[in-house]
Amino acid sequence: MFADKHILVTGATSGIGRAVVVDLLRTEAHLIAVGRNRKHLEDLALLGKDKVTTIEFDLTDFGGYRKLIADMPSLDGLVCSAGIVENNPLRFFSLEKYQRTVDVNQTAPLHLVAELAKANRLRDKASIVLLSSITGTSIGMKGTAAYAATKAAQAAYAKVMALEFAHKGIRVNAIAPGMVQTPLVDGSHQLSAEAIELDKARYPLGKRYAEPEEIASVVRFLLSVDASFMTGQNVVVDGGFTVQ
Amino acid sequence: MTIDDFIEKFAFAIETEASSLSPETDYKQLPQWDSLNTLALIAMADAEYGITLSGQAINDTRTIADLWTLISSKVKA
Repeated sequence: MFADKHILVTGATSGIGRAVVVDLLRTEAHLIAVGRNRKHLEDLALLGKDKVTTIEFDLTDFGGYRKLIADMPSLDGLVCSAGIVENNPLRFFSLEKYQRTVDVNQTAPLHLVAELAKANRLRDKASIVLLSSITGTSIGMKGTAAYAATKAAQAAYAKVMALEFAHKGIRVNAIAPGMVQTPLVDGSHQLSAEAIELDKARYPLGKRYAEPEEIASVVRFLLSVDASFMTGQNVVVDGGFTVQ
Repeated sequence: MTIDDFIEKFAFAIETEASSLSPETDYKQLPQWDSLNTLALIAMADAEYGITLSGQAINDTRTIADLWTLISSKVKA
């Protein structure tokens, strides 16, 4: 299904992005994995051998995008998975933290898609998948105003980009996971183990967070021709959290 | 940097009156306390003292004095 397809994944060195790369390695796709962590990129290169091209790049280097894509083949798929979350409640609001979150989560995917469009590096019938969240699109969470806004933006981007690219058969969709068991959660240390267990218990399907692979499989579906008539959508993958 | 200053900052973080608090207050028993106030305390510690607290470390404290001991030990470290 993905033979000779070139798919670029941002945020490829951890969490959902890494799971997407590992998942797609089981197909015949050629992957371009973009991330900041050199060691993790080297691990992916070893894992994927000649099926993965790794690029160390900071997505907040907005001036560097043209150089980033200059030598790339035209893409059949793009997965914008890079993202950060920082605790930033209103009473201790940090404009610096806000701007950092907006740069990575919101400006980077829009700028990347725009640069790829300007350079004609998106093939007809390509598929773009953006990483949204139920936070911002369905629910709020204390301390996450910036994160929530940037994730709601992905759902908005999907709608607008879907229309701008439809004449080329290019599809654009977003995925809105609930909590996912990624290093972003494991490493945040912001909630106690007890608080995390209580939160997991609120997920109807299994009283747990999603595994990254459970998001990656939906990404693969949206990239594939099986989703050939889907565009502009925000697909919720949250174990039933938001239907309660 | 005294515990009285800290109580002012704590009260601001969880949106209560400092006059209703003392070092001995078992703060998780306050009516306005919920576990997500932990995030406000983490942000307060970062903004006011430049230190990083974990949710687990906060969870392991009981009184405001315990919390102050935790924060002041990190500030000195």
